[in-house]
Amino acid sequence: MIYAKMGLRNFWRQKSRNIYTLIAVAVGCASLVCLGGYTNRWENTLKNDAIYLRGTGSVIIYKKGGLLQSRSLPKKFTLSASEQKIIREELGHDPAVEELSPFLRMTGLASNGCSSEPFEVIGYDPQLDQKFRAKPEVQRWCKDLLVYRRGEAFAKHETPQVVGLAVGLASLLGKANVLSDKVDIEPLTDLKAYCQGPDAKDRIAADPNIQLMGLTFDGHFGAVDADVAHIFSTGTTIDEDTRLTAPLSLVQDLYQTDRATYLAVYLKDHSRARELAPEFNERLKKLGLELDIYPWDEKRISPFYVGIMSFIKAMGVFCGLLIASIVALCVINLTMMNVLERSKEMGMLKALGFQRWPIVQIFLAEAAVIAFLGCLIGIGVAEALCQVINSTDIRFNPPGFAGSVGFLLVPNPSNIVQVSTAISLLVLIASGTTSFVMAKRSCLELLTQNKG
Amino acid sequence: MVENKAEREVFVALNSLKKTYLLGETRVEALRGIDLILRKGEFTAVLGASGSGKSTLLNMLGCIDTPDSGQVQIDGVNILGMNEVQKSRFRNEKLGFIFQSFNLIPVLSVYENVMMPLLINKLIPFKERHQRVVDIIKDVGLQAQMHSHPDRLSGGQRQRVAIARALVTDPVLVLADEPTANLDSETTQQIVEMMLELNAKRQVTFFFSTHDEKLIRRVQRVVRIRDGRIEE
Repeated sequence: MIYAKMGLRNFWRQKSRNIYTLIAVAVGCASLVCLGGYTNRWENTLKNDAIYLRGTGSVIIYKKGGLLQSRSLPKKFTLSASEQKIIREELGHDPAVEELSPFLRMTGLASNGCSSEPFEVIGYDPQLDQKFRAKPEVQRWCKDLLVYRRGEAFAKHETPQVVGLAVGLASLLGKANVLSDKVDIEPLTDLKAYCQGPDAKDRIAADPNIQLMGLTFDGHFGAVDADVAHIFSTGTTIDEDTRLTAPLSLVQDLYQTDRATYLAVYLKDHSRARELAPEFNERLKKLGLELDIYPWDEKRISPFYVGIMSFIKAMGVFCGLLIASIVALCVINLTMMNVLERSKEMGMLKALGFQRWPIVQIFLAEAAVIAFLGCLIGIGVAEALCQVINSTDIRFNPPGFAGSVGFLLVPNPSNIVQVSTAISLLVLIASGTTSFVMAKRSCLELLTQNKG
Repeated sequence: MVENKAEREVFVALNSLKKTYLLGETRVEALRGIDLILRKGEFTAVLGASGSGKSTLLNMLGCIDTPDSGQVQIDGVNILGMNEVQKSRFRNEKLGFIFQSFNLIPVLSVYENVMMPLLINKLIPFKERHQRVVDIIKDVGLQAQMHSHPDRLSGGQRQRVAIARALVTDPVLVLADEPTANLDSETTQQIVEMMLELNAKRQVTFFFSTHDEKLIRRVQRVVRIRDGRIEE
């Protein structure tokens, strides 16, 4: 208790120097909390994007070999209706599972009636998509990715004959209007005029109708007509020119199948994905299903998430170490000066019979006060800074992204605790080490330090 | 007094104590073979000019410096055979220190300063500590200033706190290195009187250094030191 009192009072007594230590600790803490807030923002945005908006789920169930071969040999490497039923019955009631949903991913050609472009379609359940988009975490973290550039969700339309076009693909097909725009287009019987007339470009742009073509699972040619319900950004340039989305029923209709490329399992706690994926595999294997089950954060499943997060985390660690080193140097320097100035006090304590550890404890108590106050101020500053930055709505175009995203700093409590603990440890180690080294000196040396 | 001295048991014995320092390239013989005996409860002043070896002698007795040769025995214990941990414990339990510049901890109150040595003392039960501190503060006449901080005290009062701190563990030997050097003559007189009183009351051996000739009239025994040698 007396050590704690000494710590508090010494802090106040030597306030001119301790204020610098406090500033160093607070600045370091605030910087690391903000850095953590930046990483946390991307971690959560990309995670929710991958799980809910890219249709990966927390755990993804493919037929064995389906990840690589489902598009070339769809009949062999996709899940049949009966297999889907078995999986639903086995996992649908698992308390860890929130939802199960089939997805069909295929390729084909999309046409505006005049020209065609290759596409990669993802067919999904529109109702479930609506539900996921309304989730608070998705609303919070994926605000920039949720907004359609134009149009509405599939669930807003009664007809299942609707598609969503990525911005790049819509541009390649010359489409600007969506179904909800309700533009009256004068019917033309002359296809040549439709494509080559003086107002052909405007006509194509105004017409939301497109045609989808693809090889069915039986190897025949299939085609459907659909209207563009919305134009969206995939968020990444890599698939902006090819991505097309549609209700699962439309895609199954196009490919003349009731099969699914994979089943996405949405867990209540996504962090259990790595633990539950092998467990699900074991359970389903016992039911005679040969499957490949992956957690959502595996590189093969979410290469974008893994790639971006690896980069952000590497940069975060680098900057974090840089900040921590600067803080450490400042704190060590200031602590060293403090300890050196008080060598006589140390000598007196040694003369009274204090051994090294109790002396170090006295300095540690002081360092704890500085660390606590510094971290408290640092967290307060970081929170205020985050509020200011987030409210200014700074936007930027990160590499690999199709559109601009908001510059947000969202520190999470566990990160704040980690940063505070690390900074406090740093201060304690700096103070403990310098006082320990100093206390190693002889009593006489310490008592006569000032006399030279 | 001579008879009393003979009756008392030998408490501190120094034999052929030598200490040489190197100050740059200069060899300084601080102690040149000191033989000294202190008896239990004795109040002894060591008198000498600056650089005569007084402080070195006190440092040897206080286990805070080691001689080049010779022997130091306190209360039957050869302190030169102790390791650092044993020496720390010995200092805490058996010795009391009074410094010239008081060396109080400025952020602690009088009570807390006096309590400091007890925090690490393993002989005095926790429950007794408070009363012991209060008693010794009363003994040095500072009960009214018990919760004051050193910067609110006069030089004499600060030295009283230092004396209380030195005596709170009931040491067998109190070493005081020029305890009155920073005090005016009146306060010096008061401090010496108080040390004498405590010496009589608690039967604790006092050994203090001074270069003030006026003080020696009040003490039982004076040991003169010159050029590292005793001239009793």
